[in-house]
Amino acid sequence: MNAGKKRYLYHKLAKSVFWVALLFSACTSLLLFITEFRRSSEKTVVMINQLLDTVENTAAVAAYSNNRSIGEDVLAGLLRNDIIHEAKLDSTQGLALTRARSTDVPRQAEISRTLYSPFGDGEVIGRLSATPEAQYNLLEARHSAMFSALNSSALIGLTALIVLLMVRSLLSRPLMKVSDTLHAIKAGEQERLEPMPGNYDELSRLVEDINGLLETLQEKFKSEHALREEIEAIEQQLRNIFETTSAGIFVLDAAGKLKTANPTLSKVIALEQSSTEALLGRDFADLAFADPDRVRELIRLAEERKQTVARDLRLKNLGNWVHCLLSLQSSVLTGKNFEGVVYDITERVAAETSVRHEADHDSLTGLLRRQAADRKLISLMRGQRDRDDTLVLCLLDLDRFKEINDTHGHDAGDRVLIEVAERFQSCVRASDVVARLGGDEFLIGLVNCASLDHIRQIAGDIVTSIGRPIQLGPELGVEVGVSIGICVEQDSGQTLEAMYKAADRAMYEVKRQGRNGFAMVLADGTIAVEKIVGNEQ
Amino acid sequence: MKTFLIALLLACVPAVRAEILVIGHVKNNIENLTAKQVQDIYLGRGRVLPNGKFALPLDQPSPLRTEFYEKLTGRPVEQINAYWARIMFTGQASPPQQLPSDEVVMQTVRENEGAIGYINKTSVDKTVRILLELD
Repeated sequence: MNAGKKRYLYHKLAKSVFWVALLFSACTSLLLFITEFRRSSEKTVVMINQLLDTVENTAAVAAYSNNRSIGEDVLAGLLRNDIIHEAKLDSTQGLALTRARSTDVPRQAEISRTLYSPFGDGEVIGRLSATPEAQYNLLEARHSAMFSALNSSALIGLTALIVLLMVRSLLSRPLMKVSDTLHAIKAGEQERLEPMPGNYDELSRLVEDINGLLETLQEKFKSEHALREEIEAIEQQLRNIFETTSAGIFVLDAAGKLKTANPTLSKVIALEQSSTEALLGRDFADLAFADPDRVRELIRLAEERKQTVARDLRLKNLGNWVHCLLSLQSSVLTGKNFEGVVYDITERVAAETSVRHEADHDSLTGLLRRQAADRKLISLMRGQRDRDDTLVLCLLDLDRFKEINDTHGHDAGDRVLIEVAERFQSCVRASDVVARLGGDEFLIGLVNCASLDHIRQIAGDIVTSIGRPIQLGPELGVEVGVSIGICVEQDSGQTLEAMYKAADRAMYEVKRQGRNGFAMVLADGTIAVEKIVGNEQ
Repeated sequence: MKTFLIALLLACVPAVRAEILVIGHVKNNIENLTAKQVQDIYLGRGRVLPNGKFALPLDQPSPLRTEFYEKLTGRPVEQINAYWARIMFTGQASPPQQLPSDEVVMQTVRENEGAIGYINKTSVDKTVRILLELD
């Protein structure tokens, strides 16, 4: 609000007071005019009657004596009064006198009286009549009304002025002051309105109430400000977490399209070249995963189970792995959404892989350990149910290995084991299982062997291969032999353990019969030992 | 003699309810006049007699005049005087001619056919006609 508008309000009050006073004055003047006109008319009648009283006797004489001169005198006398417009004198003896003023006004009711003989016998001798002067009444009324209008106008004007001054000094000024102060005060500030001096009236109460409101407002502002700061801090923390976390956080819509994501997401899923904004709206499964169908399945699972589901997923490029947690969030406000977190687990997967490798493989030879070999063999045996295929289990034990160990030391022994392992592997196919059971014992699981002869040939190759000298240094060459016990899987009911035992028996049979050969457990339980003679030197 | 004595008695107490007679010429053929007719003539309102002759009213000095007007109009004579004063001011009429006594009045009545006058009842004789008796 500016000063002009304030003045306008004040002027408006003054103007309305003026107009109302004027209207009131006009109304009272009009009313006064009407009543004054009426009163004046009545007064005129009374006055005319009095005038007629005055001249009655003379008029009676004139009428009685039929004297024109006296009659005219009477009429002239009457007309000398302003209130009489016309006067008439008639007598029964034929005297008819009239006198009138030359004004042009509407005629008014005639006032007349009967003239009786002045000598007491009650004889009617004529009639005297007078017509009131309307103009006079009008003039009189107008004059009176004008006077009263002036009077009342002055009075009303004075009253209005006093009222205005009172309003100005008692209401308008303090109100403007309050308004100005209030205008200058900003919400939530410490400032307050000045209390009104003097008595306890509406204005001072208003000021008190406004101060109360200001107080409340300030408190509200303060608490709200504190609350807002708190919320901002929390929001900032959450935002920091959201933006700086090493995990990619994202929201998918019901169709699996990316709705929101933090900046980390593109890094986590190895799409650093594209900003997160560019990814929004695209199908999440197709973004960067090696197997999009697995992602879709995960989304489907999350929707089905209505709980958090998780899965390790491999990325399309670089072969990185991520762990993805996904849960369904449905609310009325946003509809069906999936919230998810992905983080990089490439290293973990790599570590796991290496641990697994270490657990499964013999660190010296790189061959499978026994347990890993057993798992593989069992799975092979199960797999063979479907195929028309048999497993051949060979247990191998090196001959004369202990002597090398004792003679040349453990390093030489280890190098012999490595060499032996390589030779085993070169004798079988990649699909076959080669494992070190411990010490100088080995295992070979053969799959897809066409016939016993084929087995026999492979076993012979192995014995021959191992029998060749192993060069440990320029001057040092050692020789070992191998005894092989072979068990061919007979039927589907045979356990791996049973096959182990059978093969073990066969191997000991070879050892008993002079080593460096192989023995096969036949279908009837007998053991056929074949010695590779060429190597026995 | 008896009549004389009564007349004497009456003459001795003239103020006591004297009867007044309005008289006219014997030859006019008017039997009598009403008080109204007499009043009209004496106050100048009527100028002619019922027989059509021009009326000549005759007045007398007071106290008979006073008594006459009072009996005729019921008003004090001062009012009659004031009335005449107003009329005379206009110059259009004048009050009746005043004669000094009953005898002069009777004489004038005898000589004028239109004249009428008033006298004490005691003064009347056959030479005049009695038109109205006031008491």
